[in-house]
Amino acid sequence: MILMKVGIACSPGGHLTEALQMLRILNKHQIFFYTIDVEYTRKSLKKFKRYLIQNPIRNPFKYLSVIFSSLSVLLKEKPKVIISFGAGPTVPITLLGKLLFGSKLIYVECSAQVYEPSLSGKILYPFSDLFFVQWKYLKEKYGDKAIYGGLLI
Amino acid sequence: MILVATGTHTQQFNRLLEAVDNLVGNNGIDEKVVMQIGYSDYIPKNTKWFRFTGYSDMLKLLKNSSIVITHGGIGSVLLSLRLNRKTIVVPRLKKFFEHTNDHQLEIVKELTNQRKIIPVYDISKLHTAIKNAKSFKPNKSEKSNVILDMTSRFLSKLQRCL
Repeated sequence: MILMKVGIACSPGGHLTEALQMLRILNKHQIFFYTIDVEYTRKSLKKFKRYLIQNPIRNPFKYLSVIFSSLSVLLKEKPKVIISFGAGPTVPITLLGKLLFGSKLIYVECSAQVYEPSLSGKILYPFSDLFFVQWKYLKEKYGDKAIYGGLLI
Repeated sequence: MILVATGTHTQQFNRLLEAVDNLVGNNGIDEKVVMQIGYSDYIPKNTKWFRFTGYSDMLKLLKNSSIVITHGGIGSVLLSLRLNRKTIVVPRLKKFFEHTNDHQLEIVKELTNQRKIIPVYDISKLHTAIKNAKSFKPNKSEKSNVILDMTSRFLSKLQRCL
């Protein structure tokens, strides 16, 4: 069977901690991580193929560099699937992957979102092939496509 | 051992660190304490501390702890619960410039209602929470494999089509 390329896009902190839980089912695939460069991501991802980018810090111009780095990673990796765990910095690579490269899009809403949807979730929901929420309150806030999956950690 | 975790959020959480440091200094805590201080500028005087570590080292520290006192970040809180540690949660608050909003209150409220954690909103109540932690019998966390199972099946199906 051909190994499939799977990209995992996540912000640092809890988003990465949730993403790492997914590794249990990804050992038959070629994976790479796309996240922000901080000590936690550097130390946690030493054994994996990873792209660590500079923190855009809510600056609209720094977001341009996120878009450029996303395109460059997509051109190099051409993932069949991108799994996004939020937040904002993961949106460009996930959306561009889906729209320009035909990657399947799996989104996991962070468990920090208990009662209200996140901005990245709202942006990526319409484009997702699989969309998970971890708290039951969010299922009706998103719609029929949202799957209540319980806590990943 | 008691582990104090402030996570990777880019603001300080001096309020928690100072409170624990003072308790240790006044002999209010008899166990060994280790503090993960993150971006805080308060440097503990009475306990071991470090700023950040990786995921597997964090798991080891959690496994060695009898009580975990953590900010309300879901990584720290849920890992602690997954490892069945007694978990005290002090949510970061916007008014103290510990976070950009008060969303940590959501997870603290939900998990308190489910009787899985001990919340501390007023830091002066931390000592009481630590004393109560010893006899606290939390409801167990039900781990769900739905996300892993459905993703696994989706990927297998996709791979067969290649």
